[in-house]
Amino acid sequence: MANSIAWYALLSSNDKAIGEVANVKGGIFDIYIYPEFYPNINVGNIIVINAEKFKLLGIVLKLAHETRLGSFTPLRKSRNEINQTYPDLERYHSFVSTIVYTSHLNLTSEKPEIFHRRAGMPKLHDLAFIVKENDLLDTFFKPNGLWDFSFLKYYIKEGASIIEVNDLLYYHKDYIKSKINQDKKSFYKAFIKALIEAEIEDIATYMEILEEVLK
Amino acid sequence: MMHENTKELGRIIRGSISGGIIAYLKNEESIENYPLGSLIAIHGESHKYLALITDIGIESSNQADSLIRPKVSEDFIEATIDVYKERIRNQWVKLALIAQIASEQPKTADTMPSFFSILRNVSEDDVKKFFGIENYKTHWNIGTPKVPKGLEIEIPIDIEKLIELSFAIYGKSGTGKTFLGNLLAGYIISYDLMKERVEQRIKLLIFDMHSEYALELKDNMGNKIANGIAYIFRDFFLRYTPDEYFAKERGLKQFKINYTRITEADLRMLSPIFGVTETFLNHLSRIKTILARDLKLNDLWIWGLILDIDDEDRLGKTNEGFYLIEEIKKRSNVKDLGELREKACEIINKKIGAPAESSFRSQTTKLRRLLDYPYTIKNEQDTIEEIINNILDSEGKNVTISMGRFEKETPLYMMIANLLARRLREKILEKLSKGEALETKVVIFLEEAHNFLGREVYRQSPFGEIAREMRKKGVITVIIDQRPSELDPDVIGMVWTNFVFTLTDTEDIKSSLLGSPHPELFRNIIPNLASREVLIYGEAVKFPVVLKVKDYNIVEIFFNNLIRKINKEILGRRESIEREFL
Repeated sequence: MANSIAWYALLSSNDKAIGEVANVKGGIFDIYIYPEFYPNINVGNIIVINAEKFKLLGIVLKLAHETRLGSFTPLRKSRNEINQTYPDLERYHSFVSTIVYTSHLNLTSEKPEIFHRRAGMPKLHDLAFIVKENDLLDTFFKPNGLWDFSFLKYYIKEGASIIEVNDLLYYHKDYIKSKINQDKKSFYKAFIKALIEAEIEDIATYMEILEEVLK
Repeated sequence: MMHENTKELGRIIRGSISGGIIAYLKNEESIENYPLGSLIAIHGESHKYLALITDIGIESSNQADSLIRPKVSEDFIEATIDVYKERIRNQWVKLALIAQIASEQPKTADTMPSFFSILRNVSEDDVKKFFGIENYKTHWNIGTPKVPKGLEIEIPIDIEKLIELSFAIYGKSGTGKTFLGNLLAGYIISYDLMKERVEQRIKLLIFDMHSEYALELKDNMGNKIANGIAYIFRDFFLRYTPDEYFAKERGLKQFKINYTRITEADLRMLSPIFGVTETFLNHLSRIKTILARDLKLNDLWIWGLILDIDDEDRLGKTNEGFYLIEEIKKRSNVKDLGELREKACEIINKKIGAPAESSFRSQTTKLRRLLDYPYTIKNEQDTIEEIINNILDSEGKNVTISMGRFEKETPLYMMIANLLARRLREKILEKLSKGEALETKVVIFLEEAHNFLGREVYRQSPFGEIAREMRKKGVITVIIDQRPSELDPDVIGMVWTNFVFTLTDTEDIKSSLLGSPHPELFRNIIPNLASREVLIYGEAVKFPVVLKVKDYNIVEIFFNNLIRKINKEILGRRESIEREFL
């Protein structure tokens, strides 16, 4: 499991930030994504926001890409032609990722702890980072060393359907596969518990997509 | 490890005394350990309660429905079930409150345990406090209560209260009625023998259709399992059978009906058994006069009803039969039985009319079944009188009447029982009218009781009269039946203690629970009772309870030891008398 240094290493480099908080509305944050990172962002990514007190975590629910000028002009060109003709076009575009606030990270103790509940809110322009490293994902998926999917209740309540949950699982399938063999039963139990908490009725379909993803 | 009796099993969630109380079991409890009819303790704020489980169930959210569908690995399914058990299913038990105790004596529950009261197993101490303990005087252990997790403690029955008034044993065939009947009969005899002060001896009169009281108890295949109570206590019983061969083979006394003692009233009482018409019964009195006076048959008049020319050879084979025919011919001055019948028809026609003659000819053939039954005409021989004298005499013996090979001959069984009941009633009334007190309390075990106490016959049957008039005069009826719904409701109302084995017919279940404190709640228990399991409620047990009746083989050993002890005492007493006086 990652120590605090690994988290500080991620959060201390502005260059690694993929965007910044552009809008806060309840448990939903819009992150303005820097254009160069836009291709790297997917539904289901785990994002950490370097807020003042706690580091807030959420999961990408949807992505949006629109013009900042308010009107759209058709160009009838291929992507290569557009990039050559208008190399700074993306400066006039807005790349937004909507994330669902699910958890917070406490870095005040030596051992970083993630709690799948909300604590504090970010401010506009707080930097956002993508959580990809396995040891950081350990802290998220297995706080205290045990599988814990309770973040799903926020994700689902704020609008994630089975499709977004599928994307989340699919995006992290390599990580899950690398860890699941150690404790398959508790992994399944954690997943089902979370679905029950999220008041999902058709649990069977979720079970099936999970098995499909993990094949 | 937490002791089973202090472990919390669940909590009271909702309900009422009348409608039943719902408790949720703790997640780790397996609902499979909570059988219907089990006894359970509820620890309230200021009372401890006893309750019976009357229903059991599982409830869950819709989320559980999908579990049967997914095509996923077994590991996943198992893990999911584990989570469901913790999160979305509740195991509940419905309880009928039966008793409560605070600081005072236990009593019927009239308060409701508070919200979230704790469910626990009943302890040995609970059973003793609520149900009392065996004392080999009034209280005798009858079986172990049904509890969620085995408890090897027995509940006693109060024999003194049991025989205060009538009691009933209901249950389908093969459920254990006869075992319990034998056990209770044994306890009643033991209670009588062990009594310190004998004010009134108890005598049993057992109508033993299948010879399982007089000889041996059998399993469903007819194999012997144990000795019947009258065999075990054979020194205290007179054991009769109408079956001549059976009597010889098994050493029983033969029961013979003395037809010369059968009265017109007896015949009227027996008429439904033989199916004779109302018209015939209307003429019976005058027909009897013709046979007894005009044809001079006197006390042999009944033979004038049933004999015909063909019977001469048949009856003539025995000395008794030969004597009978000769006596009839002599008295009525006829050359044969054919002439007797023709003469009877002629006089009936002349004196009462053609319809009466026609009725005589057709209906008397129905009475010819009497010829197949064991009878006697010897005036001095009267089994019925012998039996009645015995059971009304404090020095007399208990009696069984076993049907032997006639066990399926219901008319004979009914005839014997009705004749006996009628004479017994007359004799008791005669004694009482003379101001004499009854020396004995008579306990009549009546198998297939609906034949005597059914809706149709109760008002006319002598057993109906005994049940109505005699219960407070020292004659009580033990109703043993598999169809309680066929009994007259008045009869069920007179029963003070009920033993209910499994029944499946809704009406039977309803009837068997008419006197219970929670008929609606107990209804589920009855069809689900296993063999030897019985619901007991009424005066002889402090509170309603389902229990497994004691193993009869063990009780048989106890009874044998008791008999040895009594015989030793009697021998000792005799020796001391001999030493003193001889």
